[in-house]
Amino acid sequence: MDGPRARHGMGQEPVLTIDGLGVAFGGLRALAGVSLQARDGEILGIIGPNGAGKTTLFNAITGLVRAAAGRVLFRQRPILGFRPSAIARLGIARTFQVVRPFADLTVLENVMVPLGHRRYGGFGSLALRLPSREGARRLLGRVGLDGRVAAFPHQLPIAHQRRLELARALALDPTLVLLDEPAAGLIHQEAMDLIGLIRSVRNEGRTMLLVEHNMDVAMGVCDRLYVLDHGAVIAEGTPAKVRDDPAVIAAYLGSDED
Amino acid sequence: MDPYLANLGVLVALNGLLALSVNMVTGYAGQIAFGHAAFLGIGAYASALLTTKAGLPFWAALPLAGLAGAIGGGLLGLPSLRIRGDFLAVASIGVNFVVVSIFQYTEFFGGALGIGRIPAPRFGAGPIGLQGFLLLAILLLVVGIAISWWVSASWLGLAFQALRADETAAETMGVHVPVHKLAAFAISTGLAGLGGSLYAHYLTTITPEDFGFLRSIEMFVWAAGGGFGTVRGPLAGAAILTLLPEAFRFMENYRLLVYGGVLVLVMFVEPRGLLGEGGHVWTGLARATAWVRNRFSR
Repeated sequence: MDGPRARHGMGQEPVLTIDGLGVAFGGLRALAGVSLQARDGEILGIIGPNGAGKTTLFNAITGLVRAAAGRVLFRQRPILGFRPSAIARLGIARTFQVVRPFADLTVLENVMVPLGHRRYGGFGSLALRLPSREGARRLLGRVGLDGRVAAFPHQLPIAHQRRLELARALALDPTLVLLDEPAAGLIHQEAMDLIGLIRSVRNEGRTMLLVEHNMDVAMGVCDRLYVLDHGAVIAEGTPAKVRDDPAVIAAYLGSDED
Repeated sequence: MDPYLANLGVLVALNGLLALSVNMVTGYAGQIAFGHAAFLGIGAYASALLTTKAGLPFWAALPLAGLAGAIGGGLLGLPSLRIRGDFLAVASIGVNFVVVSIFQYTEFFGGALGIGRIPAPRFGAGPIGLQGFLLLAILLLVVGIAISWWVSASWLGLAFQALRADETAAETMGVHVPVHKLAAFAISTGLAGLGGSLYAHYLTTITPEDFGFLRSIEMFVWAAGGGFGTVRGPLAGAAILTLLPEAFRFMENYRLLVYGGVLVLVMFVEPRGLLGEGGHVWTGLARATAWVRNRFSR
């Protein structure tokens, strides 16, 4: 059995509980009462057609958009209304669908920003200290970027920029990691490497939520999938179960009545 | 020492400090500051009032002037929490005009005539002379350099640069953006306040228009021309652009024309400033020193 489950018994305690989450942009309901639960050490996939509300869900969890209704509990604690930086400090890290590295910072410095927040955030940041370069280098080694520490993000191919974002997310030492389309734009071998990396992160006892369009990756790595369509969950279950769900097939292919 | 050179020296050091002040908030934290003369003014007026009206010695007024600048910057930095980019640039200009108007139309601040007979700092037996001012200016510049260096070498500087690059990404990486923005403002305007104290006691008379929009632009240009986001750049920018008009004195009426032309040329060739990171001059210098080092190490 995998590490975290072995460590935490059955791994049934929910790390993240979302209950009736609603988000509206003007008159548009982006999320309409989404409920889901991520158990400790689980890899959860969020799939669905474009515009289904997957990224909005991530933005609501990480405090980037305001929710109109519902609850988000992180380890039993309500976090709706918290600042994004406070949510990050609690232990929820994320990557972005369109990568957002700090452009004028080197690859190493990019990782040192989140690495330093714990010890040097708040008044601690007034001390003349930097988080350890060694720690940042180790994290970059994990994602295979230790040879590019002095480069600037834009000098890296997009697949490596995605890995930089993953290293940056791991620097927060998060309990929950949200990956927004980590496999987008990757060739097959890179996607397979990514799956290995995602598993190794889970094996450290971290829970993962990923939005993914690449079905090989989503089916291959996720323990369970939630299918979103028009801002609502239309199916939930193991990859095998979800694949054969008629509602899911209809959402992706369009039903006959359309 | 030649008084002309000593006076130039005071100006170069003071302007270097002011360029570092703008650099802190615009260079590191990326918040456009087109109204920073307001904080030079707040420091100058605080120091002038504390010495002339409250009878404090200069050495007590100096740190209080820095504090006044920092508090003013912390408060007037609040708009930066809601607005960005071009809009913040316009708002910072507005702040400058508001502060100058308060100096101008309030009796307490001496109105349009400003404050005169500001005493020179005393050290030992009597007031410090021109060389004393030069020493003081250099000392304050060293403080400015030390603080800039300290910020750029600590996590605080990384946090500033992170929010400059992408506020949303910085927040999701645990950087509390409003707190760090205001910290950048307060450190920056604290330096300007210290400079203002020196300015007031050095000139002995201050008036509201000393701290107007044109002065703000000058401060911004020193830092931008030299290279934002470095310590060397703003220092070089302030020194060169302070000395250039002196060197061009023989041109008389064409002085400003040439000065402006040089500015346009520098920004055209080196958009990141004369000594900015990744610019031709700085890369060339680095390459040249490496070449020399190689020659001699063999």
